[in-house]
Amino acid sequence: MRNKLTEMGKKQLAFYFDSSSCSGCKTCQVACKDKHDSGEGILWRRVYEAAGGDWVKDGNAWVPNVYSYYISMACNHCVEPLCLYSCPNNAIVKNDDGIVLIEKDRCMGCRYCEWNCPYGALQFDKSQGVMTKCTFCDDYLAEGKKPSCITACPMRVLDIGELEELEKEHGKSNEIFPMPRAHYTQPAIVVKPHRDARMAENVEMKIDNLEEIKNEQ
Amino acid sequence: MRLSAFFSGGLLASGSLLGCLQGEEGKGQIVSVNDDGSVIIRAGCPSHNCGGRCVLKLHVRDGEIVRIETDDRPTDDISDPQLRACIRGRSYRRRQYHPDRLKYPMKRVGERGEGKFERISWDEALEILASRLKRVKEKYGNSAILVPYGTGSYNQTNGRQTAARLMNLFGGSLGFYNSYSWACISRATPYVYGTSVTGNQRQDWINSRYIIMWGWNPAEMRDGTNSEFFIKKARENGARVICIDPRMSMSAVSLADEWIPIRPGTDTALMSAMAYVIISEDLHDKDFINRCCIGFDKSQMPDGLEEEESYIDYIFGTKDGVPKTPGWAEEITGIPARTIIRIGREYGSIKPAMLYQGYGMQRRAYGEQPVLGGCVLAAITGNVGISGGWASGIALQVADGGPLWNVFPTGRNPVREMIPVFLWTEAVLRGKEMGPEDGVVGGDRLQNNIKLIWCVASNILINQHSDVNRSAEILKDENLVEFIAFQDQFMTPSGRFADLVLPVCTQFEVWGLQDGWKYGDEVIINPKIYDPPNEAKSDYRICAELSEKLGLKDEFTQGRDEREWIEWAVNHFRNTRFPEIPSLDQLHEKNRGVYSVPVEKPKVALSDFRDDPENNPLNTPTGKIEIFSRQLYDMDKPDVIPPVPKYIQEWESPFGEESKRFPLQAVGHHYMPRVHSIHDQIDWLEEAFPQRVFINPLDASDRGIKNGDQVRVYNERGEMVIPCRVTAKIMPGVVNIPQGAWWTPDEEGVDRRGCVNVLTSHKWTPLAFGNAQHTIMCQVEKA
Amino acid sequence: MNSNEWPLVFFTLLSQMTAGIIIISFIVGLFVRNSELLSDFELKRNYFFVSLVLMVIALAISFFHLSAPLQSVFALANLQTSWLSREIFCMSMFTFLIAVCCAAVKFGIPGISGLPYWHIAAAFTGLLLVWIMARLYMIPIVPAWNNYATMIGFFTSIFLLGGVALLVILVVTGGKSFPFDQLKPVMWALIVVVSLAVVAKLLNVFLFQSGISFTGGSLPPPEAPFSWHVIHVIFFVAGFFLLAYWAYSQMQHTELYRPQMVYLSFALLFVSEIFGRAIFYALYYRLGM
Repeated sequence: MRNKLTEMGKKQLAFYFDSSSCSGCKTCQVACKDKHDSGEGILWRRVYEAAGGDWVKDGNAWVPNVYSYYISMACNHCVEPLCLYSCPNNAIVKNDDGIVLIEKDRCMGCRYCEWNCPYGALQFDKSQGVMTKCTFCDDYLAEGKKPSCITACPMRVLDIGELEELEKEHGKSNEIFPMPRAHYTQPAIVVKPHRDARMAENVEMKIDNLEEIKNEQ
Repeated sequence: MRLSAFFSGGLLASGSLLGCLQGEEGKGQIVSVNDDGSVIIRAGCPSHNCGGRCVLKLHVRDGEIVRIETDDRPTDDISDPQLRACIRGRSYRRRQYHPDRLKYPMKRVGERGEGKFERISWDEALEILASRLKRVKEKYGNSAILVPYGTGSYNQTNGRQTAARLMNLFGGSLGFYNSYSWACISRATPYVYGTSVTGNQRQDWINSRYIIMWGWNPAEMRDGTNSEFFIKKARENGARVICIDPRMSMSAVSLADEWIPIRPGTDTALMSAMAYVIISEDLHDKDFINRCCIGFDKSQMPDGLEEEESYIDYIFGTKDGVPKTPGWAEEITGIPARTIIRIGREYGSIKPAMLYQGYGMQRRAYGEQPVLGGCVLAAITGNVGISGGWASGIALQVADGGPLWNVFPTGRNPVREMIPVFLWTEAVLRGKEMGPEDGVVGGDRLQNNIKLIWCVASNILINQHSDVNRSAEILKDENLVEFIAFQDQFMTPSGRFADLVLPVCTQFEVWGLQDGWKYGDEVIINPKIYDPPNEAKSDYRICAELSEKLGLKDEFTQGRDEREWIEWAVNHFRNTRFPEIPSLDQLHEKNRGVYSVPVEKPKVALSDFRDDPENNPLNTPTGKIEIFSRQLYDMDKPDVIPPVPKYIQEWESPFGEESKRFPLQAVGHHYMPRVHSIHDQIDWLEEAFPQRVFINPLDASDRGIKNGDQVRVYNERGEMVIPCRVTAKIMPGVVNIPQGAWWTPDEEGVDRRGCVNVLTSHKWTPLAFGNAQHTIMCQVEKA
Repeated sequence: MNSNEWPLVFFTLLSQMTAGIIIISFIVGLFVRNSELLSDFELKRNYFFVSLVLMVIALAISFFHLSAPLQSVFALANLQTSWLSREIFCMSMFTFLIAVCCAAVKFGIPGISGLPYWHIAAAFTGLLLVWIMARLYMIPIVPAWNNYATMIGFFTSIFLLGGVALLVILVVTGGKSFPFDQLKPVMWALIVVVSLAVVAKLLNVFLFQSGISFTGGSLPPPEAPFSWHVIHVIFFVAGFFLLAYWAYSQMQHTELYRPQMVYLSFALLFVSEIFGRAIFYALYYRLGM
C-alpha cells in the first residue's frame, strides 16, 4: 500500500545543497518568504546552525574543540512522503516531477501531516488555516526558471536536479545531522557535508539557533 | 508564461507606473510582464552603505513592489559575477511598506529627547529650518553648523551629501574627516605604503595559496558584493584559508579551513609573534626587504636614527628586553604557542599569501597598531606587489582606488577647520578650545562650538556614537546645541532628539545611481519606481526647496531635478572610471540594472614599485615601505604612537584593574540582519537573526545563565537587559552584542533592545583620533 | 504541547470513555445475565443515550481542532494509507451504531429490535476504533508514541473511564431506592475492571513510558510541566482510593452509600486522565528536525 507512488518511472526532482560552503546567511529563507508572501513564523526554507564541542584551557591559552556548520532545508519532496500517506483528505499530492504539493482547497487543517514529517517541512499557516509547504517553485519550473532560493544564494551552494543524476554526480548523502535517517521517507536531496559534519558522530552536536527555526507554533 | 516586449511609454501610461516605465523624455523601457500583470524592473538595492552593491529585480504591480528577486544576468563567471543581494535587500519590501515610515514633517512639542512631535506643513518646516540656519549663521558663524557624518543613504540624490552641498553654498559648516568605519586603517596605511591603494583586484584572490581572514567576516558583513564568493573560489583553487576572530563567525564556518580564536585587542601581539617565528626561522624575504623596505633592522634605519629601535629590535626584545616569542603572545592572545608557530611558518613559507585585515580590530584602542603590523607582515614576507599576494592595509582597489561612492558634487566648504568625525560631541562641549591636539586640521582652533545640527540620513547622534547615555545628556541640553533638524525615513533614536523632523522617501522613490562598494567595476542604476508616499521627499528635493528659502536655488539645483542629476552623474562616470558607459536613457531602457566592466586580467597593486623601487618610489618620505616611520617617530609619543608596530595593552583590557569589576570583553560585530542601525525594525530579519547577547557556555554557567535567559550587561557607562544566546562559537571571556540595535531605554534608563553603544567609550585612538568602540569591558549577570 | 492539541485531549478521552461504556456494559451484561438491573430499560436507555451525547460532544470538539472544518468532507478520501482517515471512518461507524442502539431502546424500531446484536457491533467497532486511534499515534518518527505504551494507554483509558462512568450511570439511574444487594455482582465486576485498568496503567508507566529514548533526534527532548505530572498522579491516587473506600463501604450497606463519593471519584479520575493525556501530547518529539 505504502508504495503506491513509487512504481512510477517518473521524474524525481531534488535539491542539491553544499553545506561545506554555506554561510548561514538565510538569504534563501527570505527569498522564499518574499516570493510566497509567507506569514510570520512560516519558514518553508530555513537554516539550521549545527554546533557542538567545548573549550579546553591549556595554560594561558584557550583551545577550541568547537564545530559548526549550516544546513539549509526546505521540503525534500520525499520519494516516500509520509505526509502524503498520512493525509486523510488526499490533500497532498506528488506530481510528475516528484514534487510534493498541498492542494489548499482540500486541506482541513488537522496538522496530522506535520507530525509525520521528520524535516519540519509542513508548516501551518494560522491566517489561512491550512498547512503549507515548499512548492519547489513549480510555477518557476514551468517558466524554465530555478526556484527562488536557488538563484538567491550569494554563495551559490544551492541547486536542483534529478535525484538520480545528483546522486550519480555527488554520491548519496542525505543523513547529515540534524537530518533524520533517510529510510523513513527517502528524501530527494543530496547534501555535500561540511568537514565538521563528521564530528556529529564523536561530539554532541546540537542546533544552536533553535529559536530561529520555529517550526512548531 | 513570460513575455518580453518593448513597451513604448504610452502603452502603460494608464497605470501609476507611468513615472517609472517612461523616461521623462518619453523613452521606453524593456520590461517583462508576468501573468499577474506585474512588470519587472531591475534596480540597485537601496544604497545604505552596507559594503555591497547589488541588483534587485523588482516585480511591480499597480504601483506596488510585490516581489523582490536579484540579479539574473545569464552569466555568472568570476570576471563579472552576478550581484546577488543578501538577506537585507531581499527583505526590503518589509522596510519599504513598514507602517512606521515617516509620513509628514513634524516639530517637537515635548522636552528634547522625549520623542513627542506634532505634524506641521512642509512650508512651516522649511521656514523653521531656514530661519534657524540663518540665525545661527548670524549669531555664531557657519562653523557652528554641523551636518553630521551619516551613511544611511548613498544613491547621490538621497543622503547627507545633498545637505553638505547646500551648506557649502550657504557659507559652509564645520568640516570633518575620518569615518566611523575605518579611521585607523585609512590613516595608518599610508605611513607604510604612502598610499591607500594597496589592494589587488579581487579576481586575483584565486591566485593565492594561503589566505588569512584576520578579523574579517565577509560572509556576514558586506565588504564588497561577492567577496565571500571570491574567497570560496580561491579555496576551490587550492588556497588554504584560516580565520582569526574571537567569534566563530559565519566566515570562519563557511570559508575557512581553520578557526583561530583570539582575545580581542591583542592582534598586534599575535602579529609580532608570527614575525618572531618568521624571522627566527629565516622565512622572511630578505631580498624584498633589502630592496623595498626601511626600518627592518639596524642596517636600514633612517639617517640619524640608527640607534633607535628597529622592527627586529622590537621583535627580539633587544631594547625592551622582551622577546616577542610565541610563548609571550600565548599569554596575551590566548592562542597556544604551537598554533602561533604553525601559522607563522605557514604565512612565512606558503607563497603567495594574503593577510586580509578586517576593520573591526582597528576600531579599538591603539587601532593603528594592527593595521601597521599587518602591513609589515605582508612586507617582510614579500607578499607585496605580486599576484596572489596582498599588501594589507586599507587596500583600496588598484589602479584608481576603486569606486567613487559619492559623485554628487558637494563643492568646497568655506569653513576650513575640520575635526576628526568621532570628536563631534567634544566640538559641542568645547569646540572653541579644540586644536591640533584634538586632531583639528585646517586651522589652529575651532571658531565655534556646534550650535545647530542638521542630521541627514544619519543615526550618529545617539545610536551609532559611543556612550549613548553621554550623548543623550549632551543633546538634551538646549543651551549647547540650540537646534537639531532630523531628516530620515524612520524615527530612529537620533530622531527622538530632534526639534524638527523631515520625512524622506526611500531610494525606490527617487532616481539614484551607485558604483561598486570598495571593490567592483560596475555602475548600478536606481530608477524611480513610483512617487514617494504621503509627504515624503528625497533629500535632494528637500534641500532644493530649502535652497529657495535661503535664496540659493539656482546655485544649488543648477536647474536640475533628481533624474537630471543622475544623468550628470552618469556623465561624470563616463569622464572618470567608465568611458564606455551608455547614457542614462540607454541604461534605463535596457533594464539590466547594472553596467559592468568584466575584469579578465586583475590588476596587482604596488607591482611597479616592487619591480623597480628606485624608479617607481612610493609616496613615503623615503620612497620605500616604511616598517619604521620617521613621521611617527617625530610625533614623540612612543608609548601610544610607536614608530614600529607594537602591541600596546588597551585602556580597558582583561589584564587591567578594570577587569576586576568588569571581567568580560564585549565586541559589537556587524550583524547579518542590519546595516549598522538600518533594518533593525524589519520582522523578517528579526525572525532570522534576533538581537541577542552571545556568551560562551563557561561564562554563562559561572553566572547561572541558561540559553535564552534575560541577562543584564553593564559597565560604568550604561546597561542593557536582553535575552542571551549561549554558544560555544565565541571565546570564553568575550561576549558579543551585535551593533546597531536601536537604543530603547526603559524608565530607569536601561536599554531593552541591546544597543552596544550604551557600553562603549568615547575615548579616541591616539594617531587617527578614531573611534575605539570595540574596546569595552563589561559584566553580565542574570536579569 | 501546542494549544491546538487541547481539543484532541478531550476528543480522545471522551471517545475512549464512550467506547469503554459500550464495551464494558456489553461484557458485564454477559456475566451478570440474570440481573434484572442490566436488562432494565431505563439503565440501557441511559447509558446508550449518554454514550451518544458523549460521542456528539467528542465529534464537535474534534472540529475545534480543525482550522478548515468545511474541508472535512474529504476526510474519508485516504482510507488506503491514512490512519486518520480510518479513524474518522471508524468513529462515524461507532457513533452511528450507538445511535441505532439508542433508537432500538427508545423506539423499538422494527428491524432493529435485536438490540444485543447492535450492541455487540458497537462494542467491536469501539474496540477497533481505539486500536486505530492508537495506531494513528504510533508514527515511526515519534519515539514517545511509536510503542505499545500508546496502545496500552488508550485501552487503559477505555476501562478506567468507561468502568467508572458506567458506575456513575448505574448509581444515578438507581437512585436512593435501588436494591443494592442485587447490584453487588455488577458493582464487583466494574470494580474489577477498574482495578485491572489501574494495574495496566502502572505497568505501562514502568515498563514502557519510562524507557522512551529521545536519542537520534536533534531537537531538545520534550518536557511536560512538572505540575501536570503531579496532578496526574495525585488525582489518580485520590480517585482510586476514594472509589475503593466507597466500594468497601457500600458492601456494608444495603442502601446506596454516599453517591457523592462516586461522582467525586469519577471527577478525580477524569481530571487525572486529562493531564495524563496532555502529558502524552506534550511528549511529541520527532526524530529529525
